[in-house]
Amino acid sequence: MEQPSLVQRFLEERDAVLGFLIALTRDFQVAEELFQEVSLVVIAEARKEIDVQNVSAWVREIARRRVSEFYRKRSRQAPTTPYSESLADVIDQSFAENEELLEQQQTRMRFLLECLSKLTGRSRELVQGFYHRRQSLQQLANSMGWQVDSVKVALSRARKVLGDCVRVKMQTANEEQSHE
Amino acid sequence: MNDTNYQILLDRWRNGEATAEDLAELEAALRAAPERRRQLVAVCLDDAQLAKAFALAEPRIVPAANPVPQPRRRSRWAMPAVVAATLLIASFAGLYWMLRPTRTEVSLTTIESGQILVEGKVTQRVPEGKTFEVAANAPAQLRLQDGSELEFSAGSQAALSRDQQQVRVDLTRGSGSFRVVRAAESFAVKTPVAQVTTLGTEFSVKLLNGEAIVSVRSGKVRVDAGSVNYVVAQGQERTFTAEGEKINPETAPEHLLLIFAGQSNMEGKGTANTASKLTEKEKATIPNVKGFYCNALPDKSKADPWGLKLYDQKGKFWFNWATWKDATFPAVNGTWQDYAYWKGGWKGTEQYDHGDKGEFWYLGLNPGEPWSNAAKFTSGETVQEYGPEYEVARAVAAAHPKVTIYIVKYAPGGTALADQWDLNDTWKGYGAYAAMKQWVDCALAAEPKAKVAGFFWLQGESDAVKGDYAKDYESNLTELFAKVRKDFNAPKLPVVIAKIHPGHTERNYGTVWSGGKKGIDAVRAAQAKVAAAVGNADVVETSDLKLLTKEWNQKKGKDRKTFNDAVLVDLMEKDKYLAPVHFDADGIRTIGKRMGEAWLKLHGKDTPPKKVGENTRSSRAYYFSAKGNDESDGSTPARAWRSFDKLRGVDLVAGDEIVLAEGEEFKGGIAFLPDVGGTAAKPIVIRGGGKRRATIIADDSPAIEATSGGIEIRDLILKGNPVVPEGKKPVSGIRFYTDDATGKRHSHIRIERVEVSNFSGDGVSIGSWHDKQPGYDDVIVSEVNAHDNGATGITLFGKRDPEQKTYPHRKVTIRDSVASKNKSGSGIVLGGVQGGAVEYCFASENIGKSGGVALWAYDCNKVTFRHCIACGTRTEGKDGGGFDLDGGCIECVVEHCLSYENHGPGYMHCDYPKAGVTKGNIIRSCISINDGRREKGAAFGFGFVAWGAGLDECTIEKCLAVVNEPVAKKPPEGLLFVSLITGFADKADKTHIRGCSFRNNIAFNTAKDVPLVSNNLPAATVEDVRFESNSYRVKGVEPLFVDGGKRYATGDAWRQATGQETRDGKSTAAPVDQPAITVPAEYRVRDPRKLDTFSLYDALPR
Repeated sequence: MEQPSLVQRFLEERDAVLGFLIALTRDFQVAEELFQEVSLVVIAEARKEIDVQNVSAWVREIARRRVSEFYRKRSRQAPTTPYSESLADVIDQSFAENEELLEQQQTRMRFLLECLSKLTGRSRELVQGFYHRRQSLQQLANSMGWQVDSVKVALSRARKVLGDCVRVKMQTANEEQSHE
Repeated sequence: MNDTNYQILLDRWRNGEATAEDLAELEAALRAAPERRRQLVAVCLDDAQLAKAFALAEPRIVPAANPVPQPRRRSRWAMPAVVAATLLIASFAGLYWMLRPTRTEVSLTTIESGQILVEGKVTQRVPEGKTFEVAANAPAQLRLQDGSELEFSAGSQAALSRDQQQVRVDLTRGSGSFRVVRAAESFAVKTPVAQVTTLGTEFSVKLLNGEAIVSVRSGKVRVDAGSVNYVVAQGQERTFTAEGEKINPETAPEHLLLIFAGQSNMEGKGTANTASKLTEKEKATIPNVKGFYCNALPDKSKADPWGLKLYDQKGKFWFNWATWKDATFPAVNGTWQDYAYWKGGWKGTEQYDHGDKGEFWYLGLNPGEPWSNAAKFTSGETVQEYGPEYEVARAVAAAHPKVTIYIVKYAPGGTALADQWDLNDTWKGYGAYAAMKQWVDCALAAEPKAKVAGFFWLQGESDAVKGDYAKDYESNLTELFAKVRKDFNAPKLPVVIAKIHPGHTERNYGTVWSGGKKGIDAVRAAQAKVAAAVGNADVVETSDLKLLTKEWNQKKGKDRKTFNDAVLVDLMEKDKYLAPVHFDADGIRTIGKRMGEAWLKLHGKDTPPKKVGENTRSSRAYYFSAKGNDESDGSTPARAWRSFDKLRGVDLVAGDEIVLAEGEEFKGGIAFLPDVGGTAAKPIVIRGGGKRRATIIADDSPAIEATSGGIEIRDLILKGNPVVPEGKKPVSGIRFYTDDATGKRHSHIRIERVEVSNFSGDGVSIGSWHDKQPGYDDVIVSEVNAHDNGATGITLFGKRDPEQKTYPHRKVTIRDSVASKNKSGSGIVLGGVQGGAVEYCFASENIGKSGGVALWAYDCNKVTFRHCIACGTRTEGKDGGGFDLDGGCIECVVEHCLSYENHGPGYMHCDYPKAGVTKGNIIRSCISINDGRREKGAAFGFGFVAWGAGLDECTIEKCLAVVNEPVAKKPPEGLLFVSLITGFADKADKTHIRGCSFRNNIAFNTAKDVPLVSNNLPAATVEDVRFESNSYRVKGVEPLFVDGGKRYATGDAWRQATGQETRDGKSTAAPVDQPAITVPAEYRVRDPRKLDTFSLYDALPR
């Protein structure tokens, strides 16, 4: 496969890759760091003009190795948060089974932004704090003057609202497309 | 698990709170249900996109330090009587704050002194938005609630108001001084011709004859007049009109436009965010300096003036191509703005067609690669880089405060002068030079007053990549400067070059920079040379500056948090540049300072060209020690340097010494630039210090390599790598080579007391190759031990003059040297030498696969081998002898030499196909003992061999050939032999041996079936080869003479049949009863200095 197209495929799937890494690590910062490492590997590999049939699976494999390595290293330095290879297997399987969900990421992002704009003040603030400012639940609770449990509930609701909103929009768009 | 519990579990997981038990439960739940796996993927995607979404969704924030030209509005206060032009004077802390509405209560302004009249009536408070006048008899002082002070001169007319963003003073007559105290508020003074907006600044504005005189006591203000932005700095007073700044020819007589061009280092990789250490003060706009900024985004409909497409045509810059292939650009369109290192020229979103809505700020200063200079990515990361122009601007501005300096920069990264700069314009306007010219032309059009006053060039890394690029760099650079001076109509335009860094070595670069160290050195040398040659030019050194390390480059990539496409592709492109290639921020700034200084020295003067190599500093020594420190200055043994690379930043002059600490070991090699050398009186010396010689362990280059003469190498041990580097030619230990097209002959080489071994090429190689026959003169190689090298021990070579009148090398002496176990089979070889001697040399056990002779010469004139010993030469092919005067030799001599136990003959006089004239050579008073050892067959003692162009008038005399050991397989050749070999000669060759003779020699044989004489020259006559007065002796075996294919058992029979050894009908051969030769047991002499006392010499005919 030619270099640009392999990299391009990777770029098209970057949100999925990042999502996969978030799933494996549940740490946005770590996931982003590992994402960069994965990117470097992909670039380096792309230069070798290797033939990759399933880019998604290939990239996930790279990502898994990076995650394993990361936890190996970290466990040597400090007690580690639990990481389960068998859970990683199931997550991998989930991504492999549902590749169609991972398509149209740009469209999806556009819908997410639209949905986000409709989110009410406090919910939005919460989501922004958690996902953008990377605040912990406790920090969010402190800054909003809430109980931590209230934060959890509100965050859960906000996620659901956003998730549903995006899925409806995606569905509608896909239906429209199929009617055209 | 029911759905509710599963959702709770999933939320815990998403919150990062999951325990090991939770994870096990989650895993089980996922394994059990495909729809949960699907949901998991969806929420992961939600999480990933949410993590990015806010950066995209947030309203764009203008960078705090990045004022953007705003659409200008006509003054609402413009008076019809005055031609209204707007002067926007804004403080540089600026726009960010301007966007924040402030609420100073104008109505709370107090009148501290003086009288304010509204509609002719005195008032105690200043009404908002209403014009007031200051009484004609005294100035008025006002104080705002925030403490800001306003003083209006008597008779001034103004209004005080607040609009959305600012407190405004509308000054329509007179003048005002203002001291604004509150940093967080915005304050503006507006007049029919001026609006003043400021912050924390003390300044005054005076209206006089339709002009605004702006004077700043503290801080800085921006002035927007006509179509140009100005900055009035502290201490300045400048006058503005509707058209722009009013220039007073006495105070600002010059408008100097400085062109900055080159490749990525000129573009600048000193990242302000991380490494620059710019102080806040330094980040401010530089007074009187203007930058020409691009003010348009790429447009997909018009022609490409920047040459970016070409990169792809050349198969490079695929990123640029992939991204910009459909992008074309509007005709260059820029404006002059006050220069600051970070200044954004234009901004774009979705610049790269990749989906992410990033926000990019481009430093339009540098259209070639705009995005690397100033970009604010989606993540909020900003990249603010600057090149040497920043410090040049500061230096020039400081030295010429009343001069306006205009900066135009064109520096596309990765471009080579020999390639993308396209000096001959073969790409019809698409090359970098054409683009640069267009860019400068546009800049000049935007400011017709500006005059091109300087050309700053920092480029060459890409030309160092390829050997032929590097070789042409001198001529290309000369052409570039000539073109610039012609095209901008400035024949004496000051040119300042910054040398490329010598640290860009092949080793550092891996495969990327295949031109390697040599290419870089050639480029650096060319830069110095051209700077000297073109006049009104100077070159600045960079070798002491630091490059960004590979690790830094890698980290830079990793530190970028959001991996949007632009950054990713950036990394991809930069990946090949991860190796050190760019100067760090301090380096860039220092280069700028040096270039600025250099320009200041050139400006306004007419500096004539310097003589190339002109250097007036006195000579000095550079000390090296394995324990040295490269941060030191190398001036004393205690301050020694450690690595030879330090020399690459030094301009060596005649008389300099490079001293290697006694007995120490160094790795690497020393390569002199082509022009570097001394004289016989003041040579450049490389030597070991002290009694124990220093050792250089060379890598894949010669230990010492030079082009010029005037170089002495002493007291060293040089060790090489016997393996030929992959893809390269064999490497010699010491290599002098010139292919100077003018035929220059470099004078004075001394190589003394040097051991050179284990190189894949020659031990010592001194040579040239050019029709003009450049070469070396006055060469002495003395006490050199060249052993175990892949080719020859010591060799000189050069191209032959077809007429054999001139020779590349002259006066060459090799003495007291040893050449052993070298793998070409040759020990010491001289080619292309006129006038020379090889004396007291010892060549032994040189073992070649296909040939080689211990000591020999070809294409030489008047070269003598004397008092030398050759032994133990082995070869599986031809030759393998002790001594040889070969084709093209004229009047050369071998005398008083000893040869023993070589595979081939002791002494051979030979030609070769297409050789020149080989004539008048003599072998005399030499001894051969038991040569011709090769089992496959060889001749023995002394002989003439022709297989090419022929031999004329050569003599072998007074020599002794002995074979007293049995020979395993015998050839037909004898102790004295003549051999004509057919089948190899060139068509033009008329292979012959003519006028040659054996005279007064002794041939002594105790081995069976070895001929005393052999002659296979067909139908030979005594005119061709004459045997005369020789002594033929045998002991214990029958004599044998072979001539013309016939064998003769006695000398008489041979004599009578061939006419040899006959004069006037009588035999000239010595009587047959001559005594046997007794070879002393210790005949294997290995010290040529002991040959004088070798007893067998007494047996030689006199």
